[in-house]
Amino acid sequence: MTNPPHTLISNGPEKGINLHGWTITTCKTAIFNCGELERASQELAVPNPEMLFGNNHLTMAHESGLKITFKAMDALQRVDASPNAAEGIKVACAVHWAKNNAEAAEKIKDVIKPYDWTYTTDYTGTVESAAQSFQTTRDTINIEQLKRPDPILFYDELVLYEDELADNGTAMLSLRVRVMPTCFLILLRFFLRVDDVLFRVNDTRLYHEFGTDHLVREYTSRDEEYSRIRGKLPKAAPWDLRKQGAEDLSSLTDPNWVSATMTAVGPSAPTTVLDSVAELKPSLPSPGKYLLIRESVKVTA
Amino acid sequence: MSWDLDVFIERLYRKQLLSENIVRELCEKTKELLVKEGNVSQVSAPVTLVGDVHGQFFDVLEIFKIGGWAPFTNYVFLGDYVDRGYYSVETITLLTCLKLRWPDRVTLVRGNHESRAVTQTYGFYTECMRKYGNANVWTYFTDLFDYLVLSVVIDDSIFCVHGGLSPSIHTVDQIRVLDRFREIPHEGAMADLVWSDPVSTPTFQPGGIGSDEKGDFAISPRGAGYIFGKEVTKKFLEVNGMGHICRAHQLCMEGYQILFDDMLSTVWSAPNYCYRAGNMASVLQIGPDLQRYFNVFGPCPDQDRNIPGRDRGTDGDLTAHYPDGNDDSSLGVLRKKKAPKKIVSGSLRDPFDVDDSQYGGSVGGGMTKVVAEYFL
Ligand SMILES: [Mn+2]
Repeated sequence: MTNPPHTLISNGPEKGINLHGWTITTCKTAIFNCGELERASQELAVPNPEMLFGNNHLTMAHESGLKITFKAMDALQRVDASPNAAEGIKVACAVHWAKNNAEAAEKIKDVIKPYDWTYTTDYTGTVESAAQSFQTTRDTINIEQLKRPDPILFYDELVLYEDELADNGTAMLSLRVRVMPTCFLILLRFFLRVDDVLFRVNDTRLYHEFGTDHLVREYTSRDEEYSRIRGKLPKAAPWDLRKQGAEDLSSLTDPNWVSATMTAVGPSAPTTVLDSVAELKPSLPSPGKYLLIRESVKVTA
Repeated sequence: MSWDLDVFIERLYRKQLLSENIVRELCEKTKELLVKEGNVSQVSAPVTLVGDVHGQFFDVLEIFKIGGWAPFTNYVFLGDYVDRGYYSVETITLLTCLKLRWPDRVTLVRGNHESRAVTQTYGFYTECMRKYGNANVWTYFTDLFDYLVLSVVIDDSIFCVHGGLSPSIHTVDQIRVLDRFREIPHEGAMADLVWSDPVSTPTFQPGGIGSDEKGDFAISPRGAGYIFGKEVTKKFLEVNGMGHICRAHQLCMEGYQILFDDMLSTVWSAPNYCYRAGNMASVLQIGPDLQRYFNVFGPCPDQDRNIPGRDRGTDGDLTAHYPDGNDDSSLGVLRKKKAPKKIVSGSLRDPFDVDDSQYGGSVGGGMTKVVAEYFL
């Protein structure tokens, strides 16, 4: 296969590619500094996450006028800051903690204003071009196409925000993009681990095959119990466990391992009905919460 | 090998690991030393305070280049020596040797990562397994962690701790009587000292008891742990007749942060944290008259950093211990472009159930990576 005509972009922290009427760029810089954080905290209803890469972005634009960006601040606007937001999930030791801190807690009734401290977002990108919008679709992401070992003309990955939840886990929103001669794929992934409580992976995939007239966006959300995923860790050899029964849990910090270990949701999921919005819960064997939303937007030259 | 700390230190400066037996001996001797130290170490200025370093060994060497080498500079390290970075073993081994060699010139405070539970998840355990082929070294060090001191007072004026204050601690004397020789508990004073955070502009829930906006203690929305504000800080300093609190534990882009009208400062010493944050780092140099100066530095140049695998050291026959013959290059600092065929075949069981753990670089924390590009 010969590569289609394309030009690579390299401009300081910005990198990208031009091809088939598309321009896809990424910008990778440092976390926000003090002044930027101050401004961010005024814009956001939730406290700033520990690592806020507010100047990072991924932007995709088509000559038809379609333009979509991925930005940390827009993603954080979608984090729940309502009064009940923090009720959903507590760190594992919270019950124990509340009981044992009863004495001290008698004087300390202040809880910092509730917000979703897990920084969960259902952000799927910001459509900057007003004329276009995503509509429900039966178009799908062509997995077979993506499995082919075609050359990758452009690849990048970046983080939008990350918080270690005071070492009770991790919340991370990251992006990856790859552009091949025939198609491109963008993956925006929100990954959450609350130690001894749960895992959550919210994935947004944008897929386009050059020459077709649409861009597919697929959003999946998956929650599974921590213990179930932990139970799937590769078992250590017995001689590695001789000391205090310690176990290597570091795979649990790897979004990719966890995502691959969770129940699959997507074209191959064990459900034949894949409407635009599918609550997949009933047909899946493992306990957890799953959601799939599939939409597309017209791309006309 | 005969016992010679100076030789060990030199080897570590050359990025070479010590053998398992030496590490065991080292930890035993250091425990014997630390068991005699109180929970609160008294230190005199001039002294240099170092915040979280998190296994970023090459940046630790940079600190010595900038701040002076031990024992010529008096050091207080504020904890979080291990996890996240790729050289936790080298880092904690070196710091332990320095402590044992010059006990009065080096002080090691306990951070929340100096814990069995935390290191199992965040990298130190895995690194010990990879570098020694078993968990013994991890066991020696985590046993040693139980002996680290909880706080430092500099010339009766500056209180130093890893995390922050505790609602159950009003006086430094109350820290002195804690039983610290144990794993960090989930709650209580000892946990608070290593976990809590100051908050400059807290948004408190209205209607609670206590003085909201003034900055009293508050319970984190996570359901465990405390945040504290200016009032608490001021009161603690007044009660104890001190002028300043210095702590680590929180990343900041500038490498340090000064809060509450200069009553409290955060020092952060891991530049480009996790090899991706792009932040600066600093050490806090406290002069003879207790004047404070944040010496700010960035990540050391790439040619000095050494990608894991290129410079593993030559101590013993470590390579032979690598469980699966992997060398450190699989730690994932750099993604190597390999023939895509290898990745696409075999591992793609299911489109969204693919083992895309072959993924290193700036996102994700896994340890066995091949190629990130072919994600699905
Ligand atoms: Mn810490």
